[in-house]
Amino acid sequence: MTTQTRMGVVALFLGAAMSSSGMAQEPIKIGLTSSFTGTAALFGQHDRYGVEMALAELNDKGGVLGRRFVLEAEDNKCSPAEGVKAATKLLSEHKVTAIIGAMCSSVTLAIMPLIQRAETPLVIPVSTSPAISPLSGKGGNNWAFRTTPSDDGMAMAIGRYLKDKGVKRMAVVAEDTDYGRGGARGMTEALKAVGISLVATEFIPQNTPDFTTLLTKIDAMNVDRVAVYLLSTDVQNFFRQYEALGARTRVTGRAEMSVVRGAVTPEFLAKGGLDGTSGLNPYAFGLDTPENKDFVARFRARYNTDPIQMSFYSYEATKVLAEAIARAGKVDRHAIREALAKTKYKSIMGGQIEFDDFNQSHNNTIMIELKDGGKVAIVGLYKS
Amino acid sequence: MELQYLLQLAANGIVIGSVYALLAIGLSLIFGILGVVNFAHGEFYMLGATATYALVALLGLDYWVSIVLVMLVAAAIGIALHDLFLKRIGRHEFERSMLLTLGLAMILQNGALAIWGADPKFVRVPALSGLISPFEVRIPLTRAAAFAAAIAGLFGLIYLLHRTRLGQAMRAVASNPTAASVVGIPANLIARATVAVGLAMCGLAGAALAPIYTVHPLMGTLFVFKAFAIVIIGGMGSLSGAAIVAFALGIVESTVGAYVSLSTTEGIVFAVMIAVLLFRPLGLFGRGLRV
Amino acid sequence: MTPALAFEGVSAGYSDEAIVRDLSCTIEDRSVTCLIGANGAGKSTLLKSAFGLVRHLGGRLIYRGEAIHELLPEARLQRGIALVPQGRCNFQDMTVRENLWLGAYTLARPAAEAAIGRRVAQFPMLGRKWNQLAGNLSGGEQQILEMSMALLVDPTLLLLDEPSLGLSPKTMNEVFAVIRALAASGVTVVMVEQNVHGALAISDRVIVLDLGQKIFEGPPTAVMADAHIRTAFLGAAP
Ligand SMILES: Nc1ncnc2c1ncn2[C@@H]1O[C@H](COP(=O)(O)OP(=O)(O)O)[C@@H](O)[C@H]1O
Ligand SMILES: [Mg+2]
Repeated sequence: MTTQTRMGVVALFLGAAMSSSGMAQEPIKIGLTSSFTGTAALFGQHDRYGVEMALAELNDKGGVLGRRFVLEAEDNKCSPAEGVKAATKLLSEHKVTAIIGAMCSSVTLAIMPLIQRAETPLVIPVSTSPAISPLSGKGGNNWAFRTTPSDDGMAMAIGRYLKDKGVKRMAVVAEDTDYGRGGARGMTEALKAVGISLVATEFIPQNTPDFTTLLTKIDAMNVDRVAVYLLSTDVQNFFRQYEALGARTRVTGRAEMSVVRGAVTPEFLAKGGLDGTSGLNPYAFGLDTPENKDFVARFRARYNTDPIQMSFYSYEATKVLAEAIARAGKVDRHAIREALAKTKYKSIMGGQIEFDDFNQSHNNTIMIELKDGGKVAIVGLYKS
Repeated sequence: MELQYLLQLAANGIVIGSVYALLAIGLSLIFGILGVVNFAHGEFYMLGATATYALVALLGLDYWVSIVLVMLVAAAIGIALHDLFLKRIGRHEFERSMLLTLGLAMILQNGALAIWGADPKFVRVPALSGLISPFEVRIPLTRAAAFAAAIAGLFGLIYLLHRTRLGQAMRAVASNPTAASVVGIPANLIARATVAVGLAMCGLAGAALAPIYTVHPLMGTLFVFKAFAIVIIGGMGSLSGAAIVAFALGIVESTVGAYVSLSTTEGIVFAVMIAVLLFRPLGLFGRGLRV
Repeated sequence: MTPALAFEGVSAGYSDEAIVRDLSCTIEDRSVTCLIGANGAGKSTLLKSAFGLVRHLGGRLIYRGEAIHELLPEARLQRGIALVPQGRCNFQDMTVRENLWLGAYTLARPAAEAAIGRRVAQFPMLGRKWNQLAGNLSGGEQQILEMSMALLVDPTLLLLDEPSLGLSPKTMNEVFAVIRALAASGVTVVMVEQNVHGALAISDRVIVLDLGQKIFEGPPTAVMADAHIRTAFLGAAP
């Protein structure tokens, strides 16, 4: 061997040693697509916060398999067409190892075939449409994994809560849209599963101005609770007229208690007019557990604001993905997919994130109630 | 219990019917006299409610004073609407009037969204918190007040049409525009006054309902579809027809809706409208500006 | 003698397209002028242009020395011009009483009351049918009603569009008698008539329109003498 050859061999050895120690290895690219502009921009911002915080924490500890993470984020404007563009860019231009996204369910559904064809894992932290699970895992697309509870899962959680409360008779009110129809269907199945009788289901058009007849009718039904699937403006209108009419049937569902409280007068709240009203949340930053308090403190330190559902679930989805890569032992998409399928991740919410046959996880959700003159109280965690 | 339940439903229906009547009559009036279908009617109702919010919640004005102010502002907007746009549209230029008022509706709706956002707003009138319960029928005071305002508006309109020179001229133009010109009725001034009155009714409806509903840019859309159905069923331009159908609809919606399903009732309204269009194109009560 | 009304190159129509084209003629004060012409010649359009019901597209319209072509109908009515349009043109769904009150819309209340009283005295039918809907009157009665409405303001120029249209011979004669009496009382009359023979008998002057243009003007005798016009517009020779 000549000196030159020897030096070459040493260099090769050194190079190999360097790469196996990870110091000079290229980072793992994670893709994120969400709605960073448009009406859902705030939610998209929180999606990004969650992912960035998780990656930063991981990188601070040296990444996984000795490799650091970098993030490629592409806006999808909550539009399926934009989502397809964003996913294509992440897959073919940035060649990401896995994608997190896409927030709006319609966009998630639109990009699922793409990631399947590209054989790249997709972790879904925010989209709750029940349409996603039947297409995933056993449903055909075994590259898509959802960490957030689906709407159906949340209906199950509400069912469990109602059972706890000793509810016997229920009514459902839903807007006549995909959201409302889906919610009502999920609720019907959940009630059947827990053995509560559903007396009536009412569908009403979006932007219905008047709820008096509905409220009168519900009160006359003598049900223990009414589950309401309406979106923000209608929710407020509903509770506004609920107060005016002095309606009596207690409401449950998925409404944000802050929205509900804002729709009625402080006097009505104070005299307990809404006490017993409940709403299920996938996440609430007020959850009083050491794990969550720690998470919220770290989040606040970083972003100077409270985490919301989007930031929380995107954070945990990123952690779940990183943990699967670690278990896979190599940055190989097929190996990561198999590792993801075997996930057992302890969630800050207390539940276990593991995927069923349809790659759907059933994390805990939080039931929030108004109590003692309209005060907001977390009354329990319910499995979705 | 059963009777009281029915009474409760009927009371709900009569209140909502009175407000339907205000909106439908304004629509019918403008059609009867200008031959223009005002597709932006619901947006003017929304503006009326938004203006009430601005006056009551932001400026802290008295609610009753605000109602009058809102009606005056609405009437002034009506004059501007007439002079800027409707004046230029002939009686038989339906397509132009449709495009113009539809365009206006979109501009107003999106403008409201851009200016005030989609967040619903609340108008609270402390004097109207609480209920009255005649025969154990629960009627929120806000609704009783809206009903009173609507009835006052309707009787005011009947008085205007039958006891004033302006009203006489309005009925003449609706009956026969050429004959009205021939006897020296100033068509333009009457048309302007009509749009002002129609929009004042919208403003009144908006102000009356602002303390009951949430105020937001899309609040007018569903109401105005109902108003259209009412006007078509009652007979385009027939004010009495519109009023009768409006009250009937309010009551039918609330009673039938309570016994069958609410979404069925929604369908029934439009099914009746289509049936009327097919079999009685002039509406159940014929055409003509009559009260 | 100044003319009551002068058309100076008037063009008028319903859109940008002129129906009456570049028409000039003068209507003498206290005269009866008869407009004749085929269907669609523009006779009604010409009368409406004098009252301001169609778009003025060119030329000038001078009423007793004042240019009026920019004025709205109500302003022309105030200057003494009244129109009785072709066909039934009243308020069908209102009573005779309401119709007459609307006819007097531009008058103050006492004057209106007096004017209505005079017309009811002149046409007792109006009093008999006082509370009936105008739409339920016979064609002749409606014509009388419409003329009465126009006369409430005591016009000095009366524009009549086919007053005898659809009337029985007896009613037609009554209507012509009314017109003759009006003329005698000093009202200037311009009328469109299909019943040429009846109309010419009470006219001082005849204007023939064709395709929106004046093709002839002269006294009734001259019209009768013109063989072309006789065959084209007056049917067989009398
Ligand atoms: N309201 C209208 N809109 C448009 N065109 C019209 C209208 N009335 C009449 N016309 C047209 O104007 C022309 C002259 O009509 P008109 O003056 O009524 O004729 P005449 O009275 O001589 O029978 C005709 O071609 C007719 O079609
Ligand atoms: Mg004619």
